Amino acid sequence: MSPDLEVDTQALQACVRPLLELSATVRAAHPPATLSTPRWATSDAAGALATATGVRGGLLATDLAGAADRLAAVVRDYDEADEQIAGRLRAVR
Amino acid sequence: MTEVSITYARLRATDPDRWLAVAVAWRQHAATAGRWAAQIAARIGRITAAWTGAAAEAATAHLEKLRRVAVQIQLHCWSADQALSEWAGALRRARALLSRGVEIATRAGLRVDDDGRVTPPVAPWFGQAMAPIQDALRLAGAADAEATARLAELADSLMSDLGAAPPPFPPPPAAPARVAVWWAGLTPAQRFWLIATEPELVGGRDGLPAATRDLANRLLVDGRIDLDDPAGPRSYLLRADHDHIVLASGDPDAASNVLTHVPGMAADQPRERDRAALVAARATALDPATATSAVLWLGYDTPDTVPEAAGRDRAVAGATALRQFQAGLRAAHSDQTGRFTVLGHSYGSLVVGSAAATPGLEADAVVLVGSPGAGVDRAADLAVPSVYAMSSVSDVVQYAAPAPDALGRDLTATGLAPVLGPAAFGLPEDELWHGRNPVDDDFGARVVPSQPDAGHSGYWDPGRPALDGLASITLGRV
Repeated sequence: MSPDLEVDTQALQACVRPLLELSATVRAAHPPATLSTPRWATSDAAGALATATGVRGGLLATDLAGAADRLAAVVRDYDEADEQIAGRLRAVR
Repeated sequence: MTEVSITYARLRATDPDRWLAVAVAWRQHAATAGRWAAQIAARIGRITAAWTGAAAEAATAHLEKLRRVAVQIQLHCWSADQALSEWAGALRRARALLSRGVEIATRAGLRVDDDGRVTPPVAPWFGQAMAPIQDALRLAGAADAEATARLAELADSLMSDLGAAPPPFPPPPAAPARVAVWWAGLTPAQRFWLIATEPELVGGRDGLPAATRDLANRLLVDGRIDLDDPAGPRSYLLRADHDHIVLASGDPDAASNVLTHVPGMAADQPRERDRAALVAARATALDPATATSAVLWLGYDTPDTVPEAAGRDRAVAGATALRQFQAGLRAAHSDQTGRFTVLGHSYGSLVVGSAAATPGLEADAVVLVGSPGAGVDRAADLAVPSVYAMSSVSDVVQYAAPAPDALGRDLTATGLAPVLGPAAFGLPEDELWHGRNPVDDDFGARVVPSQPDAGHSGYWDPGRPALDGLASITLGRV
């Protein structure tokens, strides 16, 4: 039981879209390209770091989308629970 | 082809500016990741305002973890920027050496073939031309290995877990050397964890690497300070708090020569930064084989008025901080061969003199420029291996007056000094406000000449003798 539970589901719902948009932005970002001509060992290392940065960004994008989805589910769950409880209480004679 | 000839061909074909552009692109990507982190933080704020309870806490904790991932990406991008900026700087120096060798060979009627060999091998020009070419190839090869290792470590740590909290900092007033040893014992993940979570502890801590402090301080200032000249050496922000700023041009931990520039009254940060960078640039031009970094040290409360400059309190307080900072520079330096020079201009020379008045200032040389006195009467009273002094004959400070009002009048007349020279003020005083004139013979410093029309602020004028003198001192060539 959470005696301090308070929730404004509309305000929470308003956070879902920005999180999804941020996820898309992060996924679309490209780390800097390396220089391969002439090729130094640094060229390959910079390329490998760019790849790793892209992968890390991709994982972050996925996590952000997941967080947005869970937040949307929370809003649905709260609204449904409120509706169900309200229905039960209305049914009392 | 041998490895040497391959390196020679690569170096000839490499444009350092293109690598510098890659470094700048990483810096821009760091800014992008910083915006991601800020946007996640903004969502956390909205959610916290709209939702309370255990589930809300779990949700915001998860988002906070994602924010830290964005910060980690940001830090790694800045680190890549650091590594590639140093790489580009080393390439520039290597190519300068290469040009020097080719020029010597050409002047002597020799030629440098496509493998980097000077032909025919005629003494003495052959050796004089080959030496800088070989230095260039060594420098490029070492810098390539260094950048590769740094970038590979970054790729590894970026993909690793954020890590657990490291052991706590050695409590103040731990010596910088102890802090450096403690830091060296952390894993890369622990270091990044600390920078991301406690940047205020990392940013100002003497003894930590300059590259580390720069990351922490960039997080703290969050773009509010204009730090970087896209065409110049990378800036390392070593401190930014309480109106104090310490900013290095180039990585001081990796430089063979490190100049700490301590300004005086009414110090203007951009102007003083340019002055420090001019010395480093000139030193690099004179000796491309070694890296030179210049640190603008505004780690004390500079006097804003002549009456404030008449007192020594600010210098004494600044001296303690300067000693600590220099100890940190030495402790964090990558090897034991670095040369450290501390330059004090105007009131800054009193700060430097106060710092060197007792043993323990980590400096191979101090330079007192346009000094109103360094708080001592003899160079021998300063506990450093070498003491240099420089004052232009037209510098009003050495005609200093015994009272603030009188000096104020003289300072107002400084604009006339280059025209009128000493005639405007009479003969230089032996006894200045804060002690014996450091360019006086009896003081015993090695006096390095400057141009007669430098006034109080012309010591950094490009192409003039004073700047060459300061660069030569920084290189240990005087």
